[in-house]
Amino acid sequence: MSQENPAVKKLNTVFPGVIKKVISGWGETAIIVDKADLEKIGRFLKEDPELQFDLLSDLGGVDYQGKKEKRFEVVYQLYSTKTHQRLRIKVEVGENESIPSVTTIWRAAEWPERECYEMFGIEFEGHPGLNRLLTIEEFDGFPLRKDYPLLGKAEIVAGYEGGVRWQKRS
Amino acid sequence: MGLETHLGDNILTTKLEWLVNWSRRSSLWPATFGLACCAIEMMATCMPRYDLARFGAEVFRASPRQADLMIVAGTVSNKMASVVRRIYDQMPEPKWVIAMGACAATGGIFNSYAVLQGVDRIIPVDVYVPGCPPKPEGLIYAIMQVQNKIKHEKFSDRT
Repeated sequence: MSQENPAVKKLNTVFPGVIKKVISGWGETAIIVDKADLEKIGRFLKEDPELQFDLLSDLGGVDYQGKKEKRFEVVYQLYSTKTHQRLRIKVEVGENESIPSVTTIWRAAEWPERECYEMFGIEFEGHPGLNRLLTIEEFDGFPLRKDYPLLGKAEIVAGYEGGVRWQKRS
Repeated sequence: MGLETHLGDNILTTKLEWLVNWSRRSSLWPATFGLACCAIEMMATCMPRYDLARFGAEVFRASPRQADLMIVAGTVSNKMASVVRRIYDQMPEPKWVIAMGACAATGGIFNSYAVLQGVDRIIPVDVYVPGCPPKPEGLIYAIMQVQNKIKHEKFSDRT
């Protein structure tokens, strides 16, 4: 099954040994690659005239605390508006490790990478502005990590003279 | 605050108090402030089927400076909390607040790091409406409770 996917087939001929594992099922194909090869593979998949994965439809993170050797995984969902093929790329990232940003290949990666950074604390090298996206500026910690407390480390209470302030939970 | 400070303890205030409270409760102007699905019910409350105009509270003002009732309709996220508080601060006295729905009252099902666990943590609330979302009848009842509260207010309460 997996060998039939044209993208996997082509990647295996152009970059032999780069795909560490192919996961396929339900008509979907995912490949696991090393983070050092990510930029190379991404650019190839986008610019190759036969594949043309020109749309990064989503980018997300996963926390495998205590279940895998490397704690995090970043998942890239690719789609080609020309051939209508889909491909999922998974990259394993350890704790306190960084990963190259793909914003230079797909500009659409900018906000998902910021979200991934604020939720999991994964640093993206070369991102134009890696700031918090959804949570407030004073937010402490990375809420989608498995060891983060459900209600957070601080809460919002009324300010002394109007407005609100951020107070640590006791 | 406003009229009350100029009057003091005069015998005249008993009747004037009634008149002022009557005018205040008969023309409550809510601030247009919808945060989530409760806002849809709030809109339905104003529509002909439920017709909030019967209770004098149908004039939703787009500016908090013209409003005296704040209906917090929906989930207040932590990022929205400062905005809610700023709108409340911008409303002129006297002002009242209705926490509409489970989320505004307690945080509801969103027991998480991102959602304010009840709007009463940042602003004083007069009436809580339970429900997810509350029916328009529930909101109308809450507005009637606010009117009832205004009816029994004393000038001395606010001075």
